[in-house]
Amino acid sequence: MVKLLKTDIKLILKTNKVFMILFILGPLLLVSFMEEKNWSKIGIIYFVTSMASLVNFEEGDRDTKKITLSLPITRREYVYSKYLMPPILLIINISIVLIGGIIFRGLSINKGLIISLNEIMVAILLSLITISLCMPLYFVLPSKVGLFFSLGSLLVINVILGMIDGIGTLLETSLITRFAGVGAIALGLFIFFISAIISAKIFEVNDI
Amino acid sequence: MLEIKNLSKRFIYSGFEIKDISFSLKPGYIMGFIGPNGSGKSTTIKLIMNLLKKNSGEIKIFGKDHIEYEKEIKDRIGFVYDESHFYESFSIDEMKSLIAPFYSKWDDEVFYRYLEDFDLKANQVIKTLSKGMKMKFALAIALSHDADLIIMDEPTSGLDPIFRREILDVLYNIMQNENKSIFFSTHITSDLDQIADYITYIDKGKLVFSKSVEEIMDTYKLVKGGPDLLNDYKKKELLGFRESRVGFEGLTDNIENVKSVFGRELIIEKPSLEDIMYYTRGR
Repeated sequence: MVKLLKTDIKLILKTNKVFMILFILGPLLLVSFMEEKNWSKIGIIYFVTSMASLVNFEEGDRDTKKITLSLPITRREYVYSKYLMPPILLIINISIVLIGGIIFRGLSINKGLIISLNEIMVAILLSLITISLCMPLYFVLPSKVGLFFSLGSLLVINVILGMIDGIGTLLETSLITRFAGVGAIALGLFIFFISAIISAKIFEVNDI
Repeated sequence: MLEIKNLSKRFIYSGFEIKDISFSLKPGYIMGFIGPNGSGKSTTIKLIMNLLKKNSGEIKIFGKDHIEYEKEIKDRIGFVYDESHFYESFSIDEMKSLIAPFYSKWDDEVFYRYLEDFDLKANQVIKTLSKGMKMKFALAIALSHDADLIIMDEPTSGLDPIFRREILDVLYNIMQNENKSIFFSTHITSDLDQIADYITYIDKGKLVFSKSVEEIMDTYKLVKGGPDLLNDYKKKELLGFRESRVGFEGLTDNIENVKSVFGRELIIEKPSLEDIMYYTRGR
C-alpha cells in the first residue's frame, strides 16, 4: 500500500504539475488577501483537498490503471491507497494554510487570519464527507464515466455549499464544544471508512 | 504452472461469452493461444490476470488460486499487454522506477541489459517510441523480475517481421531455462510454428482444442483432390473445405475414414495452424 501511495504521489507530481502548484500556492494567495470569514478558509481547504484527491484518480494518461492492476497488488490495496491519499493531502493543505496564516500575520499583511481549531475540524469533516460520497462513483462506474461523475458531483457539492452564505459560520457554531467537534470528526471518519470498504467491495467484483 | 478448469465469463451488454474453457500448461513449455479476432483470447488472458471477473470455473497458477494468492502469483508473472498502457509522458527509466518496487525479485542489471539488447535508451520518452519499441520495452519489464510464467496478449500483433522475429528469439532464449513457461496469444499462427510446444485454440468463446503441436499434426490432415472427387455426401466427412474450378482442399481429423471414402486419388498434406483455424472456424 505504501508503494502504491508513493507511486500515486510521483504520478501527481509528474502529471499534474499545474494543479499541484495551485494546490500549494492557491490557498496561500487566497488566505493572504481574503477578509476574515470562516467559510472562505474552510472552503479553500476542503475544496482544494477534495479536488486534489480525485485528480490522483486520473493517473495522467487514461487506461494506465490496467498497468497498476497487473502488478503484484490486490484490488483492495489499490482502493485503500486511493482513500489514503485525501487525508495526506488534507494535512498538507491545512499545514499550508496554517503556516501561511502565521507568516502573513507576522508580516502584518492580514492579521487574524490564522485558522482556528473549529475551522480545521469543519474543513476535515467537509472533506471527509464529500470524498466519501464522490469516491465510490469512480469505482462503481466504468473508468472514464466514473471519473467524470465523481469529479462532477464534487464540483456540484462545492458550488452548492459555496453558494450557501454563512454555511461555515453555521457549521462552526454547530460544533459548539470541542467534544462535539471530535464527535463530528469521528463520524466523518466512520463514513469515510465505510465508503472505503464499500468501494473496495465493489471494485473487487468489477471488470477493469 | 497454469491450470484452467471450466472457465466461463458472460458480458451482459455485448452478450459475448467464454464457455467452459479448460486447459493446462506445464513448466518448461510454450503454449500458443490462437483464435480469430474476437474469439475470446484477450478476455481469457484478462480473466487469468484477474482484470476481468469470471462467472464460474477455476484458475490455478503455480498450483494456487489466482485470486486468493493474487499478489504472490503476480510477483512471479511477467505480463505483456497487446498495447501500451504506459504513461506516455514518462521516460523509460521513470516508468521502470514506478514498476520495479512492486516486484520482490526485480533486477536492474537484467533490465538495462535488455534495453541494450533492444536498442532502447533509458531516457527515451515513451510517446516517442514506435509500436515495436514499446512492445520491446514491455517485454524488458516483464523479463526483469525473474518471472516463472510469461503471459503475453498478442505481443507480435502489428509488428513488422523483423521485430516479430526478434521478439520470438527472445522468447526462445528464455526457454533455455527449463522451469519457465510462456503463454501467449496470437492470430499470427506462423509465429507459433517456430517456437510453440502446445496450442490452445478457441473460437467464439469455445475451446476447439488444447494439444501438443505433434498431436495436432497427427490429428489433422489437409486433403486435396480434383473437382470430380467431391460430392455432397463426401463433403460431410470433412471439417471444412474450399472448392475451386481445379479441385478442392479440405481438413479432416479422421484421415483413415476420409481415405476410405475418397479413395486413393486423394492427396494428403500436413496442414498449417492457419489451415486448421480456417477450416474449423465456427464449428
